[in-house]
Amino acid sequence: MNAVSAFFFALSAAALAGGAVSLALPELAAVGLAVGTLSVATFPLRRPAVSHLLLLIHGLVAASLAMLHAPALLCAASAAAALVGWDARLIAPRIASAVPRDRRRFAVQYAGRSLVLAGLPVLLVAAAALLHLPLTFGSGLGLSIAVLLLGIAFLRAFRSTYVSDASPPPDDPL
Amino acid sequence: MARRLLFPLGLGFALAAAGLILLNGSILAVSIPFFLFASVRLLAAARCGEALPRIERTVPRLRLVEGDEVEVELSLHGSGALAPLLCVADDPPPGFPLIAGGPQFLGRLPRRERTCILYTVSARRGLHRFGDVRVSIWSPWSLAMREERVALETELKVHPHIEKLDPIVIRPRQTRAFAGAVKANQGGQGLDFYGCRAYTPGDDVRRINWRAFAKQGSLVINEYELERIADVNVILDARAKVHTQLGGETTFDHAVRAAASLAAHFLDQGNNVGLLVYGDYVHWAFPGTGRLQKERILDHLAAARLGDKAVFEELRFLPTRLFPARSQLVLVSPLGDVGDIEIVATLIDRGYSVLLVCPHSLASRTSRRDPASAIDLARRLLTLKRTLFLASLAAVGTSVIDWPVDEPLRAACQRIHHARVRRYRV
Repeated sequence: MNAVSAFFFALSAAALAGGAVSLALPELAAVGLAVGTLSVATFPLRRPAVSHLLLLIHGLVAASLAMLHAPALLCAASAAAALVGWDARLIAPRIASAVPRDRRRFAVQYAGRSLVLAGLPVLLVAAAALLHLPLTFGSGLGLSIAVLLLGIAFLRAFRSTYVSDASPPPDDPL
Repeated sequence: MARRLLFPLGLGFALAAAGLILLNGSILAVSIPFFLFASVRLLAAARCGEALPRIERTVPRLRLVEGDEVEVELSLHGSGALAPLLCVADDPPPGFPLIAGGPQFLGRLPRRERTCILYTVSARRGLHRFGDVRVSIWSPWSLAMREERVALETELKVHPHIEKLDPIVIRPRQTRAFAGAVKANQGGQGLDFYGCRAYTPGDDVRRINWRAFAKQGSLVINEYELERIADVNVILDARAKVHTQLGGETTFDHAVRAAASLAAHFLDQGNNVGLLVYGDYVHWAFPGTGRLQKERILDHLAAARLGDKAVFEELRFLPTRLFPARSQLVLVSPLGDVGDIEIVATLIDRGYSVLLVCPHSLASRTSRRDPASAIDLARRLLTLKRTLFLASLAAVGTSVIDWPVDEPLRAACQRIHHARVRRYRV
């Protein structure tokens, strides 16, 4: 899983560097590559806080590039790859003591599925850049309601997951 | 799972807010992966809980001896309809190094199928608790993972290793009424000659000393020393300040083994044996006999640990009221403080007989390369100081077993240095 995480963090760094090069800012490209190197170099540090910090750095550099008008596709790709790298890094210790053969097989499957999962938002951003829908008041209202319903479904799923994670309350004899 | 996703979700919200404030579509675009990732994971995670397998842990024995290898079996029974990907990890206690196998399963487990995780660990002394089993379940497309902890507690008691000892001579001032192996300092039926006394009607004629009769002209009979069981109280000194570190172990680990061996030895002889662990807390096993008492004492010793509480800093506060009057005390302690001699002397003055087992790590051999090195000199000085200390203890009436821990206790017991035996006629 460390290799999968390294691959995705490197992919994220490459996207950041690509975005910086497109802006003709070699300094930012160097920063992107340095962030990638940092992500790979800190593998021995197993604490989740380090993974969170790395994701934060990748997100902030991607946002900075986006603010400087770098291609949104590259910035989104960088964020998506960093997310998968972050996730893989958090999963790695959980399966560390499994049989190496099982671990390798799991890592390959995980990498394939994560690549698809990381590709979805990039496609969405690409579609957003290509598609321009003319909205009337009615379609806008309908879209808002649809988004609201999706949000409620999302919150319900979040709540059910969160509540089942918590320990049950102790029995009250009264 | 939900808590873990809060971080990317928060980051996504922050980016989206920054994009809206700065009216920058590109920053908004960067927030999309975070939202999408969290949403997909959360929606997928809601279905993971259905596939939690039934888990059972089997350990062949719940009482072990340190160094034993124990094979732990974790049975998993599949329950999910979709055979999800599972990662089941057992959590052996920290004092159990892994010998063979792995405490983890990673793979798919179809419904009504069973699989086993087998692993072997080596046991270290103590009370150990296998904790919950961590189960990670991936959703059907492995888009999300849900973590559960299955409460499955198993408590293992790992007793200290017991060494078989040769007979140890103890001389308590009072013994019990039942026949045993301890000399009672009373004339009667036994094996060792005790003395002579005038014949009284009813005495066994086979015990008449005919030589004394020839000399004195009156009938004299031989008496032999009675052998009885005794009250023996083993005191394990668990004060952190008196013990030293020896590589991966401390003298305390050796002291615990010595206490276990001595308690087992005296119990096997039929004595009434109690145990006091003095240091962390007063752990007291009331005196008793038999196998059950041995188990009880070993359980106490399994749980024994070093303590540095101020109230137990000195042996002065030893709760002597717990020990039967005029009984035998077996103190297992490296001691080392000159003030301890006075405390041991007080115990003897109160009527107890004291046997001191003194574990230490001072190697007796000098270095071949450089016998005059500073380390050897220091060792010799320490040995000298220790010899004087033990001689002082012997002078107040303590029997001393000086035990270098790199040799078996059995060998050290053969070199027991007895105090001058004070005979008290009852």
